[in-house]
Amino acid sequence: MLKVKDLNLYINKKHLLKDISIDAQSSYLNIILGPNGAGKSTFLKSIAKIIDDFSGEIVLDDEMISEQTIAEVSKKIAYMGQFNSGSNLSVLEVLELSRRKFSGMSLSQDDHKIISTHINELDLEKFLHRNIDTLSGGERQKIFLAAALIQEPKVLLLDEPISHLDPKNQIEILEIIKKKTKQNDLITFVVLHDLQNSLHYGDNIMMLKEGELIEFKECADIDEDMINKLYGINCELFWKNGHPFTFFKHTHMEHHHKTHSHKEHD
Amino acid sequence: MYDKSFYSRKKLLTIILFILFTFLLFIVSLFSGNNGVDISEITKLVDNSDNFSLIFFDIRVPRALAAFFVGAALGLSGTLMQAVLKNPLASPFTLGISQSSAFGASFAIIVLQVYSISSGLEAGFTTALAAFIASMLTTLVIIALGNKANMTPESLILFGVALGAFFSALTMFLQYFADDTDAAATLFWTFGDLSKAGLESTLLIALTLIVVTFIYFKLFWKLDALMLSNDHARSLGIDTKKLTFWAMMLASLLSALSVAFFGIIGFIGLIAPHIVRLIAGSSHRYLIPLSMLSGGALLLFADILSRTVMLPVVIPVGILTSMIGAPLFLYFLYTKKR
Repeated sequence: MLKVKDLNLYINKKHLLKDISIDAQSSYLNIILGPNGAGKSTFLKSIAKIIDDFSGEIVLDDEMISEQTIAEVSKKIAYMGQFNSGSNLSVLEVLELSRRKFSGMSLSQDDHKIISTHINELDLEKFLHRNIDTLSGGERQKIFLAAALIQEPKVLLLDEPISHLDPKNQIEILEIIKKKTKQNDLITFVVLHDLQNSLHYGDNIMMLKEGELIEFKECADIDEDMINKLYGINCELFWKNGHPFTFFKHTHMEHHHKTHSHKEHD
Repeated sequence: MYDKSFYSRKKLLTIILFILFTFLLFIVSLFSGNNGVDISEITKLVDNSDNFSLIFFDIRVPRALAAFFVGAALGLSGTLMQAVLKNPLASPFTLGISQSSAFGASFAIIVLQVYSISSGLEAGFTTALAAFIASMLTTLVIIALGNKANMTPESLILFGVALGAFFSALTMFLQYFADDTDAAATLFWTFGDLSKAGLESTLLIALTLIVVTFIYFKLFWKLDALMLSNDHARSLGIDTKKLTFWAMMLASLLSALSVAFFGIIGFIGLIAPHIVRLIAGSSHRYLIPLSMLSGGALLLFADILSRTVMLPVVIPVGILTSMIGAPLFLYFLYTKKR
């Protein structure tokens, strides 16, 4: 159980996170939605203590982790950011990095076992000695997801793990995230921009706007009004056979009919 | 296959080849120069009969050791700076740290008049100390600005170039008002020259390098994580600000010691890590030991050239490293694969 209480953050006098309080259960996949600049990445980074000048309490299983050092926090929380590049490291070197905070220079037998299990499970064998910068976007995201999972965290924080990926890769990554969350009882937070995938894969939706938490609900309880309020758009949401579908209306309907051809229903 | 060993077999071979090559250069260095010490006369070493062994042990060996350790210190210094500033152009020379040492030395010679108020040895020490203080202060300014102003790596290098120009101007300003002897002394000081300091200075640098070897195993993966991104490093439990601060302090300590005792030797710190990256990749597991070896090898090579190309004239090695280093660096920039 992860409890966040009255999380506030100011950077250069800007109020980026405003009184955020949230209780998150293990083996739940929480999707964070919100417009650009809403504080989604900032929220993740504060939980992982990448940003450390926030106020408020973060408690994980009765441990006040907001008071702990970054070295201690990192042993329980794994984070995958949006921007990693230009390192020139091999894939294996990146994966091994994930265990060094536990063992330092020489990895233990256990570390090696965890790494090789994940290599097999995610089918990474063929990439091991490739330079990570030469991989495609989808391959690279998968490596960094593996790097996060290899840390065997209690809390998994993923910042836009499927951006720039094609549909097949999107689904593959989301399936892994969902599966691992259930299998390892993780408390998972994922920032996404894709409404359909969010509602389909998520257990809970967390809506952030201008640094404020405006909704934290089960996916099934999310309705059009919440989405419209969140993004300031006009969208329709359908559920069919348990699958969510969204489509966005134009702000000017007349213009819409002039410029689009439509398939009509029979 | 998933290879569990710390060094892969191929990389281990590379390291051994680097060691052998450096050792070879070391031996060649002992038998190069104009004092008539030739490898064919090596048996004289045992006789202890004439000045052969005197030259060999009192001049050649200390000089070769100086070349190796100063080169290694500069190579490591460049590697650390390039890692924490995330910039392949970072080095003591390009960040203006070397130039600030030269200013510190000039200040001691011209303004404090160390040579007219104290003995040669003491004056030499004071000059080195002034150079050392100046370069450490400059480093602190660079770190502080990088932190406070959130400077990008690119602008930090531009800042260093400006800083270098500023200190060169200050040095020239002092020289303009100095008398001929002092001006000549400062000019001579700035030439990087391996015969400048005694064995003690070399041992001091060697000692610092040995200490570094102990922290290498704690350090290498943190630098690797930092290369991926600041956020990634922090998420792996690394206090990035602390890491950057101490790595920069260590890097400038190494460069300041070299410059203070041996003058400005440019481009070794810049080139050595680049050569290693081309051969063995970017992981600091290999980069740290290999850039020390290649820095040592480069300076040994430059020193051999400086003593042989214009016989019987010995050129200060700093002039030569810049003459070779600059085109070599342009070559690396030109052929850089992306």
